[in-house]
Amino acid sequence: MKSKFFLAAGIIYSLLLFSACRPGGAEYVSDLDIVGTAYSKVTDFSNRKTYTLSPNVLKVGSDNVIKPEYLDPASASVITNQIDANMKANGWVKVDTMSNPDVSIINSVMTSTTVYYYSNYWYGYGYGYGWYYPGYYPPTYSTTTTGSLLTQMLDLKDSAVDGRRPMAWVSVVNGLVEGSTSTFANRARRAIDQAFKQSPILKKN
Amino acid sequence: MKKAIYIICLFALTLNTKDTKAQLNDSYFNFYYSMGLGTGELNDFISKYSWRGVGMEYKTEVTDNILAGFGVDWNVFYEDMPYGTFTKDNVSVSGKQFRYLNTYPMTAKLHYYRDSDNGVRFIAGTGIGTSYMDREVDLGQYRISNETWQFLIVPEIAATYDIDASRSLLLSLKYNYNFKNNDLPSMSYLSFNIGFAFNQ
Repeated sequence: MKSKFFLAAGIIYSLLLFSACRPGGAEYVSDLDIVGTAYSKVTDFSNRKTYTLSPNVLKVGSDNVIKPEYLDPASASVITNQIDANMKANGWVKVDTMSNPDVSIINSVMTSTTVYYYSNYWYGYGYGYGWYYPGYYPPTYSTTTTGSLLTQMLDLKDSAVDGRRPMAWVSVVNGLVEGSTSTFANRARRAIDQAFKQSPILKKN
Repeated sequence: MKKAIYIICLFALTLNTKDTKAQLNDSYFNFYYSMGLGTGELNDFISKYSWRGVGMEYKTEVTDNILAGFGVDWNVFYEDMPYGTFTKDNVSVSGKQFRYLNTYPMTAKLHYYRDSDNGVRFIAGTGIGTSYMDREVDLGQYRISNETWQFLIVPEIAATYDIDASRSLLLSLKYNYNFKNNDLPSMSYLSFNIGFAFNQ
């Protein structure tokens, strides 16, 4: 009787042990979105008022190094329109490139696909064959595609060093590139809004 | 998973020890469900009450009123923080944080006890030992991990109530005071435990 009680207690105890470890975690792809921003301590933002914004979004990491590739116009406009709206809401004035703007904003995207590969070494153990040679059983795999949107604000009023313009402000939006086009657009808009929200230094009004 | 297997093995070994020692009529094996509430800097990190934890103890009577033994616990703290912005200097990062702390306190114990006529035993004492801490923060697809050992002192009060000659109900309250080290601040917490004590 006592040994049965111990056995039952042991089973319950073991279940409790396995219930511990790692509860919770991200439930939706949007839970994995992060927005990072940084600004230059050197740039005098109080003297920067006008900006120009490229309508194109460059694809970084493209195999075609001779001719640059760009994001499709529909997706690019989602990004540039939202940046435009935030800049104007913050009191900046948009001008064309020929009107000597204070800063220039350029956008680029990077995507990478990670393949997770599982080979089940334990499969079949206990039937007298011992360990199966790795790869004997078909492995399973899954893939995730992650993407980052990089928004760079170049300070055109500062003197160029080695032909390069210093960066006044940068934003990186990182997350999984999953879900429908509308979902992606909504997440991109929300992330861009957040980038400006957490950058009060860009506020002019 | 590997950690769980180690602890189950330890559990099995302790059961065998109990069977041997039970002949002496002065040994106790306790196992219990453990809940936790962070205090101080642990509470700043994870304020949510922890409903996940287990523990076990082996104790033996060394004199009429003194118990000596050892114990191992496992408490899991978790909290998903609301979407927030974290700023340091000219850099800001926004996202949803998922915070975890797995703590494995291991102590040697010396407890004073007093029996009453109605089958209740009151116990008070201290444990001393170390805690293995595994603290993680998930932000986006990134994880920041800290694994370390902290020196530990555990004042404890407990009571057992005899169900029959060999089994008792157990209630205990511990304060797991983990001393800060170079890797982590003091990760201290109260644990509330309910379980069974086996004796003969």
